[in-house]
Amino acid sequence: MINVENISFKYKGQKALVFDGFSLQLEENRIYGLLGKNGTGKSTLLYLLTGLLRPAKGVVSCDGIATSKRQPEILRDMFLVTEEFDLPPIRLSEFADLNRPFYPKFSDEVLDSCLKDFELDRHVKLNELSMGQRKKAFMSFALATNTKYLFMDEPTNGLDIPSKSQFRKVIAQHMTEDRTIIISTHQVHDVEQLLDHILILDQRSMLLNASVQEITDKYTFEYRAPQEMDDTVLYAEPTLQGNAVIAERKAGDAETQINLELLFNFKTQTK
Amino acid sequence: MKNFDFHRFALTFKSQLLMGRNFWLRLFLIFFLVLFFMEMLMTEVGEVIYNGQDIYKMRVDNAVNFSITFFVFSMLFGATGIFSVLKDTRKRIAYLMFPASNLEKYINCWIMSTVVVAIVTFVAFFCADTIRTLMAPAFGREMIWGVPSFLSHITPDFHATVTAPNVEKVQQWWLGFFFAIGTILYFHSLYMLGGTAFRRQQFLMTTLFIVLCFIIIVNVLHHIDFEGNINLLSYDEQNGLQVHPAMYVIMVCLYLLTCFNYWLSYRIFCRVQAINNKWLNV
Repeated sequence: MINVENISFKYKGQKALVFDGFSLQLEENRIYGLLGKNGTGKSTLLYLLTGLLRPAKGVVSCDGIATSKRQPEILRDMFLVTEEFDLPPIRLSEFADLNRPFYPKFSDEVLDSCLKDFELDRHVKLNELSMGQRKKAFMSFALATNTKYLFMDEPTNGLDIPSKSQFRKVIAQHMTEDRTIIISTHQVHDVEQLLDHILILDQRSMLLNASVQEITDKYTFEYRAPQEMDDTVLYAEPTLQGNAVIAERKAGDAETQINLELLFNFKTQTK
Repeated sequence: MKNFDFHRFALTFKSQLLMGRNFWLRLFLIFFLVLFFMEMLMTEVGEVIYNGQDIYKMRVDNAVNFSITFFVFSMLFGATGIFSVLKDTRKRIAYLMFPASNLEKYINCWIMSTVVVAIVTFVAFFCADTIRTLMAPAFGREMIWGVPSFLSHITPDFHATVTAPNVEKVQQWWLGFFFAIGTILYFHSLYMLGGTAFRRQQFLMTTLFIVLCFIIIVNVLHHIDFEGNINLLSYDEQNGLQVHPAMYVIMVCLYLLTCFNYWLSYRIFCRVQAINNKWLNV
């Protein structure tokens, strides 16, 4: 489990705190969606969780060990796929061979399966790939490491339309019980069906920290005609199909599919 | 938790070396071209008879001396380039997230920037000098290989301790040896510290910093009354080499400062974050 305890953080040379007294717990066997407006600290939070940044106050610990110590026992259980990343100019097969010994649960089957889904092969040269292909190759490697914690920052940026559904497929396929995946994104529609826990960040604090089940138990997401708007409506946005609405879910109401964009706007505009 | 695991370190070194092989090949090619063209320029261009004397051997010696200077500079550049893996945020994240301990990653960088740079520079010189030697007959010159001369300049002559006429000479040799090694290591550690602390223009910034410190120290010493001169080393025929006790203190301080610089450089590396100050790794 990753535990964020009462952390404060600000970048050097900046007056404003990115986090102040911020706490969070990330549990196993969940896919977290980390959402927030630009500049609310999504990437900063990922860096703090992985020990790439040190909080000024408080502690971020992974299974009881402070991540900022960057101990190999913790690092081999974590993998971070950043929006932009550095890959050496070698073949993917060689990259996997050179890095495999550092990840005890590395699986060649997972690598091959992901590459097959992404229509790539092991022998591609990493420096000859397009941005999207590089991302797919790197995400395949990340999933193959089978680390306990997998962090992804804007994983669908740069992916073409078919690749986005392939991405959802490979994540769903290779999610295991002892794994935690944290996806930070603005492309909510790309990951909507994958997530089982939503985190919405606001300046310095958490606007929402709830499981998808809790959200769908509490709210219904639907389209309503103007005459159907009643006092159960918590938030509405006009769309071509009518009003997109978040309403309180009453006993006997059917469960609806979560609309992340609507939920995000609801939480950020009515805070 | 082990802070240093030799097997993991060996794997780290192997993976980092192989993943960065294009960089090393590029560096070798640049060094080779610079050394080859300088050797050709210094040995083959112009007349080799001066005042009726053949000065070709002297020209080869000069070319070797240039290569030695180049070697020294490449070592200092290498030392300041110790953390080229932390150059930009992407590289920095990749290296910091690599599942090895901070000590293993630091030693890996140390070896890359010291041993690997030395090997690349020497191999570049070896190839450049060998090709220049093989081409010499085409220019009507004698084949004089500069590699043995280069090696004799950069390796200590331990044989001198055996052939020394007396104990004082042996002492003198060892004192000189330890002082030279201490000075080399001290400057290496200083440039390495600069390479870790500064994020940009590490070589230039470190050199400027050293020059500034040197000026300040000289100024301070100038105003201190030492109550007479201290001759750290003196020699007379009767007593042989006389070493002032202060000389031993200076040598010990030199080695202690070297260790401190390496330790500080390691501590800075341990505290490096994904996003740091623009100019300093703090």
